[in-house]
Amino acid sequence: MNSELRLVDAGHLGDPQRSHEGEAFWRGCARGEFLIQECTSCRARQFPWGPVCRRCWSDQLAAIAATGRATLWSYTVIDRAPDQEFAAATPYVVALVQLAEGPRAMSRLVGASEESLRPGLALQVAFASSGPGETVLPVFIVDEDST
Amino acid sequence: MRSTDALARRAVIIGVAAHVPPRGGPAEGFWTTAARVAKLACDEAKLTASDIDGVMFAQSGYAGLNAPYPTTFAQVMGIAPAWMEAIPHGGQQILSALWRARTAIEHGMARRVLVVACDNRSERLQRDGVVARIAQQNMDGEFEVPYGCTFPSAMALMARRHMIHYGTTEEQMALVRVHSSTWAGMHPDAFLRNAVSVEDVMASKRIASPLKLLDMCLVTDGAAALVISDADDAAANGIDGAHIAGVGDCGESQFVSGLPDADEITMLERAAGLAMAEAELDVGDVDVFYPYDPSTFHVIWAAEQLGLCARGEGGQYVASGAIAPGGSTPFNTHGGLLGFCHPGLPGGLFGVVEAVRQLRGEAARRQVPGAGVALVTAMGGYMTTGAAVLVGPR
Repeated sequence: MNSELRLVDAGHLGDPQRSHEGEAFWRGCARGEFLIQECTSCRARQFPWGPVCRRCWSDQLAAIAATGRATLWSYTVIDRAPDQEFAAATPYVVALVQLAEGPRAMSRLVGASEESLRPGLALQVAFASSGPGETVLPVFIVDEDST
Repeated sequence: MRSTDALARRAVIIGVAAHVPPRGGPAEGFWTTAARVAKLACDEAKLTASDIDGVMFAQSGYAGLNAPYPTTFAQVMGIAPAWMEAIPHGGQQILSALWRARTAIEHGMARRVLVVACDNRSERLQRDGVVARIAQQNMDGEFEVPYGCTFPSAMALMARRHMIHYGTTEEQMALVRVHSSTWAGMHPDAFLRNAVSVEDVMASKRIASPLKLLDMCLVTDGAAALVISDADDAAANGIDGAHIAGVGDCGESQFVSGLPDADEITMLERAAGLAMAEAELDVGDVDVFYPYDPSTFHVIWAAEQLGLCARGEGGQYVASGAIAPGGSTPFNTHGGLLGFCHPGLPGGLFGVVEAVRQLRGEAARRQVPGAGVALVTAMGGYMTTGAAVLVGPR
């Protein structure tokens, strides 16, 4: 892990089931980079990661670092958690964020009050550590610079 | 002797049954429930074990003991089927199973197919266990589950997006529950029969905003069964079945993050469009509707996608009372997943059971006068896929 990467406290996060296809993504997170895939054939960008371009089926996919800028597309404040570890973090916000590069991603929104949640809210990626496995995961915080 | 004259036959539903264990009643074994509901459906069809040569059985994840394969079920019932198939999931898959059963009949692979789905998830797992299990089974374990997304919250994300895009309100969603509870109150077997007000829904505990406890479907035990046969074979036995007139499927996405925006969602529109095109009917010909209702929001989504109102007007449509008793397009006359029951895999079949009863004119106080065509839909994945079956005309 990049020794300078500062992690935020996002409340409980589960350990991802890391796939072979997503391995480079998780290594990027550990360096503080949110990597998305760009097709070298048709230039489509995609997230989540997959083995082929979902537009043209090319398997020549490049990992590119997203800016980490995003806007809030949809959100839910969760009181009913899937297990006791998540229950300790309630209420927490799960969001679908629209990345500046185009694709959407599910994530945790950290540090925003319920009253402040509105579509289009400017966000910035941050990184947090998951539960026992200590995988570094991307989360999102409100981008104070653009508000 | 098998006849191989493909498509010379017409598949009809000749027996239906639903079983909802009463609230607080004694626990019942999985296979006991499965056997009970199968026998009820076969009794209606005037068939016994030796008459059944096709079996479809839903692979419940909660059965415990012996694996819930079609062959295990056949063994339990003393049936030796010539054709069998597992129904791998609930939701959309349980309804599209009717398509495959119909195909087996039409192609002479089986003459009488018994379709059974049974789940006892409330008994075996309790509600907490169900919430955890569904999150693990249906979601992206790499990019979604780690954030603590649950099935209700995945549905809530789409409900919120609809509110953002169109101005749909929580009160409009609550009205879906109000109308649904009125229907459920008229069904003697419904799990929840009490009337629910908008205020009750709004005051109920938040699960995942904007969805609250009373916006959500039930978690119960239960089972449903259908017997599907060839129309001529049924007629020879004096039974006038309900015709499976059209079927359609659409797998728009598996995960919620892969869905398009509220105005571009088409899983139900496409599935129902295929079913109606096959039957050469349109939505105006349908007398009664059975949209899948894992949450109140999904009924609003269905009203729009089925073409009953313009996109974005689903909230006003359900609020108008069109879906209520006496309305122009009755929805879920049994109470749906919100009020009748929702054991898991069987969910979509309860709409088919009620549709057939309506078409037969056997729905007692719930009867929609002159009901001749019913449209049943179901959803799967993360509520990201759709299936539709058009039942009738007779």
